[in-house]
Amino acid sequence: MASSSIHQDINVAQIAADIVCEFLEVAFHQILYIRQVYPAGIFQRRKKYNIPVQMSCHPDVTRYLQDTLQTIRPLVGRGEVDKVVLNVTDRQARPLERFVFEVTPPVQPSVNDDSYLLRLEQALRAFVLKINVCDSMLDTLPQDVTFSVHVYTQDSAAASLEQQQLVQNFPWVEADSDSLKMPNARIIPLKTMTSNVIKMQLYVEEGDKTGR
Amino acid sequence: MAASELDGMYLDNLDEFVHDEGKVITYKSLSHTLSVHVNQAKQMLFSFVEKSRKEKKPVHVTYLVNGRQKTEDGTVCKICVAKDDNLEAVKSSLETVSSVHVYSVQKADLKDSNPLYMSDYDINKNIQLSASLSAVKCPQAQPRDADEINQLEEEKRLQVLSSTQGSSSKQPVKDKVQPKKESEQLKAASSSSTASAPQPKAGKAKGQTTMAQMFTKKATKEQETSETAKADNGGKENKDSKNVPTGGKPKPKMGGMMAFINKNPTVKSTDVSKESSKPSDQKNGKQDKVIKQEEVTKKETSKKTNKASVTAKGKEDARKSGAKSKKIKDMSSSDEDEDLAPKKKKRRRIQQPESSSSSEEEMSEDEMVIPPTPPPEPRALSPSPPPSPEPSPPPSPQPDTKSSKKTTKSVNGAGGKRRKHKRVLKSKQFVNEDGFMVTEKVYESESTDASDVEEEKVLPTGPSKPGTHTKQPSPEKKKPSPVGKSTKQAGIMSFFKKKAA
Repeated sequence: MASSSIHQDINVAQIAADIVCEFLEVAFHQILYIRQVYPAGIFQRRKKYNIPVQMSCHPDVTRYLQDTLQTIRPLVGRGEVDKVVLNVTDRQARPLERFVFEVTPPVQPSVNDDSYLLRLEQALRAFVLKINVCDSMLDTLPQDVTFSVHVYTQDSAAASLEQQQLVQNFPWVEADSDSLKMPNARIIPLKTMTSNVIKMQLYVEEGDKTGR
Repeated sequence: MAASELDGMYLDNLDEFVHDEGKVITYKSLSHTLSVHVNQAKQMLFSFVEKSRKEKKPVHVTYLVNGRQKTEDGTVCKICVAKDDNLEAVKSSLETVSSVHVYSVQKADLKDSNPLYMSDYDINKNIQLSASLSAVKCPQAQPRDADEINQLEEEKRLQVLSSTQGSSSKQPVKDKVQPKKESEQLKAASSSSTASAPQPKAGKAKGQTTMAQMFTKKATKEQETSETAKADNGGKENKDSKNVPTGGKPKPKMGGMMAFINKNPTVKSTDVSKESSKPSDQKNGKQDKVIKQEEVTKKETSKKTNKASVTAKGKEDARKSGAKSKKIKDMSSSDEDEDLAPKKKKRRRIQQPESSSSSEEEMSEDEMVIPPTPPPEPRALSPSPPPSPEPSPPPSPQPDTKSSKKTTKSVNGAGGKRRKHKRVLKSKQFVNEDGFMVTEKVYESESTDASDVEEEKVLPTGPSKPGTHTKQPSPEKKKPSPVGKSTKQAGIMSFFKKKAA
């Protein structure tokens, strides 16, 4: 009884948003490391979810990821975010790989069956591990690549994002259709998780790199 | 090596794990999933690697290299994990290579050792299973059986419970009890006229002795009167004697009360501007608790000794009037406390994790349980009882009066005037900190003056008024019981009045 009353005070959706954003940060850093978008020298080993993960120490990269996730956090909390995509592109901003995180709030968010979020942590650990070995399923990237983060949301949410800038000088703009088109793409599913806090799946859209 | 028909199966398994699922398969995880010895798992991995290479399937292997290496400190034994592409480099760095085992097989080209740890993370937590498959054995290490574990857990739980009750329960209870005590001082003074009074511990703090003495003196006098009362109405003897054990109930409370009164002068002397700061108040409460404890133990003896010491009234009255005004001040400050206390409690509760909140729950159960156990005598006798959170139930600020059960009469022999003191067992309802409705049976003394008319006159005037005022802002007042309250006030007034006359 006491535990349930405690849980009533908790806004599970808000917590889920925090967890998702936290995880996305970890995952983005990990992808950048694994896919060698940046040299391994800028990464440091950190501990998250009780496992070692790589995190970028480059201030600009870190800043960009932080600002991005901080601005979309309220949207995630309201369940307005459909997908968050880490878009690995070449110099001409043409997408090569798109790591797609589909996030859906559960029908009845609650933490009652997993009070200490141990199972959730385990699931997120599995995600990170999968990102670690996704290398084997993907073609090697060309040398000169960069990345950007895309968020798929509704018009209203986009409007609200424009109206109130949570982070100064960090405006969101509508993505170029060019940066979304990927000819001959194939989908590589990586991981799916379902819990009472978060539902999430991760897959990679991979373009035909040889055709370029 | 395993039988040949087994070989095909585990190779299929490994092929599935590595090539289809893209997993990182370490010898540990393999030994776990197939429940085979670690050495056998290593052999399986090795033959799998051979097979994969034959079939030109891309696999990446990490090796566990064991050997001796020369450093500036001398030769050291070195065990390291090496990827297949720099295996030769690692080998050459060692002086002697004693063993090279397959550590893991995976499709991905690992960039660091993180995934190796990750893939074994959940396995390593199951110590018993991994130990049973390990090559390192320790027969002395016996797992505890379930009974033993349960027993230990129970012990631990009790320990934690007692410690949390000792520390955490003290706090809120103190907060709760203290203000009520303050608001009850008047009542206490009057109720001491019926119940045999406890003795505050004199000499504990010297600054307080005067107040303490005052109360002890009065109290003893009251005791005398009640004694005489018993003697007087022999017919009521039964009732009275029945009342003795139950009448003992308010004793510890009053002890606390007395001690509290003892304490008050110090607070006031430092903080005359009636805004007695909260921390000092709390300290007060703490000390009060200690004193109470000691009082309870000393009560028995001091009761007897003090019977003899009856002294002049006049002095007392003068002091008492001073005390009265102070009390009133105090009560106003107690209201502040009442406001502050719940806030504090709330904050506390948020911080509490589940486990301790359950102890809080238990605590509230305690609160409900303790009141009906009437006689504190056994507690009083034991020399060093653990500080029980509430020796007696604090009556609620605005109780509902429901039933009155017992009445006793006493005669004020000194004044010569007859006064009826009723000790009424009232059941009071209030909402405690956990939001439970708690019904407690509490003795209250009402003195209805059949003979004295003048006291009724006094009622509306005097310092009792602010008393009622300060009481009113208390949290819940569903059914104010005007009868009980007014008579209560009358009792107090009459009590003091008698003294003056």
